Amino acid sequence: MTSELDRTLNRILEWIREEAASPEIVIEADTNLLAGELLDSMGFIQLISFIEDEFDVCLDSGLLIPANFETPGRIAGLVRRHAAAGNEGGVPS
Amino acid sequence: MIPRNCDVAVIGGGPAGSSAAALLAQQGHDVVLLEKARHPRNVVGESVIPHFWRYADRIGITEAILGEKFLSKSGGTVAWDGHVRQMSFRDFGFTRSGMHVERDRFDQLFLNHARNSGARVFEEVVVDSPTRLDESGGDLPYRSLLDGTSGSLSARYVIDASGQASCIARARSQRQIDPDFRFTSIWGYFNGGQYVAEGGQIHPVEDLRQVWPSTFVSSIGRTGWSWHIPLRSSTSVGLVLPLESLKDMGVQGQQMEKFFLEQCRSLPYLKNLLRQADYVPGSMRAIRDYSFRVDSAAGPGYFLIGDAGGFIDPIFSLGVVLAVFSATAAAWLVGRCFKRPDRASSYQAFYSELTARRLNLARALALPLPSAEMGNLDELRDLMHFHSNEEQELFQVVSLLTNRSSNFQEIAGCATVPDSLHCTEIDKLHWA
Repeated sequence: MTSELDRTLNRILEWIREEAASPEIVIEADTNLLAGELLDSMGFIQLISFIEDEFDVCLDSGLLIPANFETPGRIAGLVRRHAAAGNEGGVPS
Repeated sequence: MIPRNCDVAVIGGGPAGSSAAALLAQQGHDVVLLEKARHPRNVVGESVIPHFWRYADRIGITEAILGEKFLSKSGGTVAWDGHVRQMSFRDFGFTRSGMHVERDRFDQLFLNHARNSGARVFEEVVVDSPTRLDESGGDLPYRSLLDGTSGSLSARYVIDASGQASCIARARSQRQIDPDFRFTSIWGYFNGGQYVAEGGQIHPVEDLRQVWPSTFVSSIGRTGWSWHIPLRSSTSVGLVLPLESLKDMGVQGQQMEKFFLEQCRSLPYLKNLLRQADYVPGSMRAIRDYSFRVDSAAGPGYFLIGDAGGFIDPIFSLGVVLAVFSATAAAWLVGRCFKRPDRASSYQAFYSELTARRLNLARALALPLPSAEMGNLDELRDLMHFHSNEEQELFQVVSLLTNRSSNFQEIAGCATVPDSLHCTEIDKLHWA
């Protein structure tokens, strides 16, 4: 489970480093994405698209609150919880 | 010839419609844009804040806009109830300036960009209410003003960028006038005169290229206000007045222009700025009850962008930025809907909510009177947290510039309040 969470976190970190942040900014699991200019509204929309495609989860608007997206670590947690919930419900992917 | 089918039909070729058309064409979609006027055509809304550039970069229009050399502006100056306050964009970390743009030229650049990106653009075509709009797309009846021909365009998605007309929301009776913003706006253009710059210094318009202007706003009575926006060869001057006050004064029709000029020659500040300025004959225009909201900014088969998705109040120059932001978001999400049709309703709901929250935040900043209906405060605070600290401070300062801040403070109470705000109280303007 932990390794699954680590893999998820690493993919998210890769995406943010590549797509959203300038190269000189250091992004770690606990970097606050909302305090600076890291994740604007468009970056946020693209991140959600990435997560849906990459991890095959559906994030409905109720989940899209800032608290869930404050750091890459939290996002990874959210993704794992929903991937797990989807599997338990037997939703085919 | 307008085709019978396309992937995406865009109604309207202002900055929002042209941006969405350009982005979707760049993604490889077959896009048809129908515009009722022929560019260049004039519209009001000449002030653009630096947030614009972030979206201009994504749309790919930055170079064309820079090449035009529109006037840069430093920030805003507000004379409200006897207080003169000023803010500069550079205090908020912006490295690129705001602008004052001639909208006929500015919008033409956007429409050219849509065309160059591969969208098929047809001008002087009027679109009527859709005859069909559902999850599989929409049918748009149209008629050409050039040759009187008519037809119908079928699209897998419809993007409504029809501005104030907001034709899809109107056809579905989902366009509602905002009862807290019932104003008439009257504007016109002047040649010559003076303008306000940094430090409250007043300059003749001949200095505009050397000394950047500051957009100047001043209060009129309890809830009215005026704008003064110098452009390259003329100055846009406008009044925003409560509907009631004009009615009480019996100002209508033919008297409107006379009333406008009397106000420009007698209001404090404006009369001095315009002392040596000449009115451009026939340039006055007016619009009333322009603030409206829509029930939902997206639904099966459609997205509403720019002013068509709701319009609040022009006081903070947000119109063009909201246009390019909503166009960028909607273009991305339409692309997603094509890719993941099973998720389409979720993307539409997300866009609707995002748009509604943005408009509510802008609305809270602009509300003319305290304690009007503000919507869900928690949602607005949430949205504030999606902005950087500098951006949140900018909201604070903007709310403090006018006395329209009391509503906003309720939201900001839970957000970061900086120790010292980048907002200068100026004793008075320094007349040359």
